[in-house]
Amino acid sequence: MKKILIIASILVLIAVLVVFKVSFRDADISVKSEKTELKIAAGDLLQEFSVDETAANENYLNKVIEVTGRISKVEDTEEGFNVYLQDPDQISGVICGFNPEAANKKDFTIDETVTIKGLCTGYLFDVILVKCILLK
Amino acid sequence: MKTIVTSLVLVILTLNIQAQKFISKSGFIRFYSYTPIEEIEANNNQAASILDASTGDVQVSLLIRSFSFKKELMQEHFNENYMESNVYPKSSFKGKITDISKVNFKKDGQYQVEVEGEITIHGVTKPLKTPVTIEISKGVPTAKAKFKVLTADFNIAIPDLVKEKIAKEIEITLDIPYQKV
Repeated sequence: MKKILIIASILVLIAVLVVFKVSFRDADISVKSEKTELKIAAGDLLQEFSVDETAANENYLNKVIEVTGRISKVEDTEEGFNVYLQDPDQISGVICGFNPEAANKKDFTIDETVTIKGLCTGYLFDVILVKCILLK
Repeated sequence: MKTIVTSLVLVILTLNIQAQKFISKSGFIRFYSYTPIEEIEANNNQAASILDASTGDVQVSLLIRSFSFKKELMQEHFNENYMESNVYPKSSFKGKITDISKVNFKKDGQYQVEVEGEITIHGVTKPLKTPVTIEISKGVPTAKAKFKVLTADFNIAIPDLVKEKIAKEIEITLDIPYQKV
């Protein structure tokens, strides 16, 4: 009886430690291990947000999405860099925020068409994605 | 006649520089809470801002979901419980640099000015007045500021369970590099 009790206590302790460790885990720096919820062209995504932001938020806010578009700019930020996906005739686009550990700035060339996976956080002047990774 | 034309052109050119609007889409904003029990830091690298060099009008907006935290759980609590980002996805500031004329946009250097306006967090708008440093480098400004806000002022409810871990005053740091529009 005592033996079972000891084993049970140890199992409970392990369970508690696992829950504890999982609860306090570090946030991911990118969405690499997350499942893509939908794929869309940068121009279409921008169009949806600029026409009806509320509806677009319903569809895309806090979702992991893959966006394909043409790179118009790469800009350093305080903690990493932003890649702008914007069609030549547009004044807005999709801004993709990268952690320097998730991607290499050198992998992005102006005018190149790429597919980027990230978490959609909403719309300011552009649609914004964070925790991005570049898909090959 | 030639002198009048030259003077006119010079005046127009000078006015043009002063009438310049500047934009940023990669502004850095940090929310920081310190208590003896826990330090919490949230960082945003996609804040947007427009600065009008002639009027001093300035607007800053950011998405709450764009903030990153070191701990996953903190990010969840921030979005779902404190900021309710599904209801209030943005935070913004709208105001004016009251002494913008102090800044010489053609001369590199640091200028201490003051901004006055309204800040909106969690759907609540409150007046805000704070010093700002405008750094001019090659005719282009970067705005830096640091100020504190009270969570209570913005209806942000901190549950009793974590009251010891979250400061009543949150320190907000801004570092916004602009570009010509």
